Amino acid sequence: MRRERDSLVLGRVIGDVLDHFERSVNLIVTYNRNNDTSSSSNSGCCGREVTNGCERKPSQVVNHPRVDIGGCDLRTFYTLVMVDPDAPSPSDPVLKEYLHWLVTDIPATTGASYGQEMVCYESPRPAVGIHRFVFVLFRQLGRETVYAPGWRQNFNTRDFAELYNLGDPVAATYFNCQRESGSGGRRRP
Amino acid sequence: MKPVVGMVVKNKMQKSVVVAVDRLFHHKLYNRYIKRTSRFMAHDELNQCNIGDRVRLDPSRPLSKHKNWIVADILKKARIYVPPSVETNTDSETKTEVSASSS
Repeated sequence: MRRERDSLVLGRVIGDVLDHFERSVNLIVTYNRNNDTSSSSNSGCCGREVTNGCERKPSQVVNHPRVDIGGCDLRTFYTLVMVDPDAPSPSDPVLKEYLHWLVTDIPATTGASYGQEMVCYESPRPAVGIHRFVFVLFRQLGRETVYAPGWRQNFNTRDFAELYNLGDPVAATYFNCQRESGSGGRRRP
Repeated sequence: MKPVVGMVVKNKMQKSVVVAVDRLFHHKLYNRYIKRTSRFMAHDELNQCNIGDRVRLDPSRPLSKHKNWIVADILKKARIYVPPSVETNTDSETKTEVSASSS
């Protein structure tokens, strides 16, 4: 818990995207190795779990991940937000935060596939610099109480949570992603 | 956590400096303290650092391929030798001319 908090502070996720919070629910985000989005029984063992600050290539995160949420009561619903606070470049993030994914009404103990996808998953394509991609989980007050924003760019997680009375986050994790280098060699005109 | 303090050894880059951090460790066999130096690239947002400055570094998220630190504070500025400017030279020359003419 302490190490996770430190990594979120170290990565400036707490500060740039979120305020300090107490983690109360398990959030496991897994990208499949073969970019297969089917939720088969063996997809968990061959997947790559996202840990705070880990490095992922754009080719590894083309399809939306498998998200497992803890909890104990199926009548509790959660909202999952995926944002990029470094768009379009970390040195000048004029589009921050860029909304990549929004799933609402996720029952506890299930995954994102059981929720309503309000904003479809857009695969990360960082052009300049190393970008952070943050998954934030909120507890909803009730079902169908959260709606999609009008556009993806200049999304604000704090304002979004305040607008729909989501309160503090219950879990968060993030990974780093940067543009994959080309094949090399001299470019011909 | 022990603060990371080092000396700026290179500031040719824009908003980046290279900081040399010295550390001592005890060699069990020889029973001596050995000094080792690590070089870290650090982010200097305002381009304030000069070579020889003593700075404190804070860890950060990866800012580039080799840059994972931020210059948190400049503890001691380096003493930079500034040669006498041209204006002071001309002033002294005019003073000598005036004194010569008066005599």
